Amino acid sequence: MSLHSSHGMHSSGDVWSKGGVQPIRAEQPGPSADPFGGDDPEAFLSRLRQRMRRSDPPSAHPGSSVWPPGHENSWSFEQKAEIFTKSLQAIGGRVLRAKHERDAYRLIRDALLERGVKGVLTSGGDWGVCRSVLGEAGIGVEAWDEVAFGHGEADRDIARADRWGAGLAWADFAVADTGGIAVVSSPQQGRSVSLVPPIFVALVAPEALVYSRRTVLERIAEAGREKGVPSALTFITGPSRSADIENDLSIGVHGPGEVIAVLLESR
Amino acid sequence: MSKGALLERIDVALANERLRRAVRKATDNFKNGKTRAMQEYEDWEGMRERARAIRAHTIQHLDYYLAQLAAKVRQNGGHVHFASSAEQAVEIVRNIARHYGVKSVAKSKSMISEEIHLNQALEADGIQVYETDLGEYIIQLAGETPSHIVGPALHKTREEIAELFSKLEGKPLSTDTPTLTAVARRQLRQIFLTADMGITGCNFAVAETGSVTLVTNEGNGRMVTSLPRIQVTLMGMERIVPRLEDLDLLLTMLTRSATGQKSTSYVTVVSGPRKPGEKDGPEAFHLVIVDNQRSTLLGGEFEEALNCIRCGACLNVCPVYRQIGGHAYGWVYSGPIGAVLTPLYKGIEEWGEVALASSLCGACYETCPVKIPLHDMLIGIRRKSASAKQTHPVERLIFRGFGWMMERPGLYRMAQRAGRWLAKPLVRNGRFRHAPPPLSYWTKTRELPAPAAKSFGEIWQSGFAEEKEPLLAVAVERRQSKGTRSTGERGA
Repeated sequence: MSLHSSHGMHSSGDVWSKGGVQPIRAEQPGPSADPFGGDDPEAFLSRLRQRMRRSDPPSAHPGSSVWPPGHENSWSFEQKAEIFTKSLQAIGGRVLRAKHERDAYRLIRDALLERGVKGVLTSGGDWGVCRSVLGEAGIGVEAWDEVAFGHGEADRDIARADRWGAGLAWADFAVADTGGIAVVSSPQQGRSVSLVPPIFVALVAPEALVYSRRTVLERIAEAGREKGVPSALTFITGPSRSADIENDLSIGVHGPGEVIAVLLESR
Repeated sequence: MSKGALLERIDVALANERLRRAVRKATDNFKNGKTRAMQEYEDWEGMRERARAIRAHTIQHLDYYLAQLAAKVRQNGGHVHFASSAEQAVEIVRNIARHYGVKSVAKSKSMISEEIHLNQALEADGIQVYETDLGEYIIQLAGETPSHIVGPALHKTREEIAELFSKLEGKPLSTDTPTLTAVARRQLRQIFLTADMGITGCNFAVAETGSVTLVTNEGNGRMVTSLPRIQVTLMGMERIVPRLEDLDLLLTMLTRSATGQKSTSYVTVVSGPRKPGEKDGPEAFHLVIVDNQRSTLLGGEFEEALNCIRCGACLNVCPVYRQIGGHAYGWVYSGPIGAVLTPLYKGIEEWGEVALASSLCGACYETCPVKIPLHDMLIGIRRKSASAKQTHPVERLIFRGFGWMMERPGLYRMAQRAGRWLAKPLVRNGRFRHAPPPLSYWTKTRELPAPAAKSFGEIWQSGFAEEKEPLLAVAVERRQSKGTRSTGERGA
């Protein structure tokens, strides 16, 4: 069975600036039989069109921002840091404040010692300072890009993830309003680092701290128009939780049961 | 599904006191969470209107946005499949599983997969299917279906859950939440690590970027989209927004309305398979876009039902849902939105009676974050049911008789007087409680005030009209303005 991955693409353009929606076809004309048994896309969509109430001319996107224009710039770092701290603490997360990177690793080392953590899984990149500071306390540091990962049974280190008591990564964004940490997948930033170990520690550089989730989405979309969006964008807002047993809150069901954010004043 | 089955299911639910207590507790928690959340916003009404406008715009241009989504997913390296029917959607997923030689599947919550009975079909092919949302896992072990969109197992007690888990572990377990959660974590962790394929639902697809968004609190959505080598995402074709930044408002409306949270613990936006050099995330990504009767709503009086974002808020406020829980509705969607969708998707002839599971109080509309006029739709479905003669013959006879009498004022007045006299032996303390059949259908579950000593018509005729007219007008006016004000307060 061959997978159809070579269908024609369409440039989306900025249809909104023209004040309406321009027609777009799902497929270039040509053979489009789905080897997995799906409908011909154009036939599927034209069935919808026959039923739809069309507005003429097509209406423009009605807008979805609930934030005043320029809201992002009306907050100082200190204000955002305070709001972030309140937001994350309110949902059971912990926030530490550090002057600079080395200071951050010292705080992390102490927090991990308190929790009896012996090994840390970090995202990719240079973790030299981290290694030396955590190493003083006998905490092992393994970087994501040095660990063998894969779907084979043998090289699946993730299955032995118990040896990492915590995952440590730089946050791509931190959202003050919600207390959320945003991580963007890349060869450096593995999804598992913030997911598999029972504790997630996020380092937040000052420029990563924004006020609203909308700002993050706008920036990702903006960057994506040129080079495509990341394969995964995740907002981690507090620890994993469930209320599925008699509506009784429990923490750490599948994801980390503890989230610690370290806000840095400078890098 | 036989007609009249609704009443049987309701009787079963009403007899289960434990179920009703659990449903009340859970819906109160959800509802109070939402009420508190709304108070944090100065302009919740404005946000509702904005969310409604976005949903309406998207549905009005659904063909455009689905085409854009499909093109972008392919650009991201994913595959897109369109399924007209439930059967076709199941077939597509079976073909994908066969193509990759899949032996086990880890699923995160997906209402659409319940809709199309996916698990049974995959299991028939010899594939192990595991639900990984804790609530879904519990009901899968129990062999049941979800009873609430947000809390699928809210009808299960901890004793029942402990019994299921004890069987699994082969030893008796205590009933405390940490113990039970730890069992689920351990069991499901193994499944995440070994499953070949992850199957997810989709809270919102994003047309502009070719993304699918998953909202979970437990993190199972992240597991399912990070560890297995194949990802299949099923979406009802209406679950889409135009742009990435639209997610901000719609996610806020969804989570605030579902549980009151500013955000769920995890919001995952997946755009295709892993990119070159990435060490986790699926190697192949398939998006299955499912119609399954949704297109029949387009352009018609029920189109706005497609605006639903599946928050479950209408269930939590519904006086009927709160009494009978989700299973009495008979299909995957329950509460007011279920009472609308089930007859529309499954056929009014068989399922129109589900629209009767409503008091038409309008609380569903008032709470709906995208302002779907659910109570109007329920009346619309009842109207269709009635004109298709789906109502009970006795009911039709009564209404025909009532109509006939209303056209004959003399006879109507006579019947009124006779009724007052006949009702006398049945009235206690001014209430009308027990009547002989067929009126007992009514008095079994409700009571009526006793007929007034003088009917309005009689008072009017005895000169009230001339003397008291100005007074009456003032009273009516006062009542009206009061009514408006109190509605306004509730809405704010």
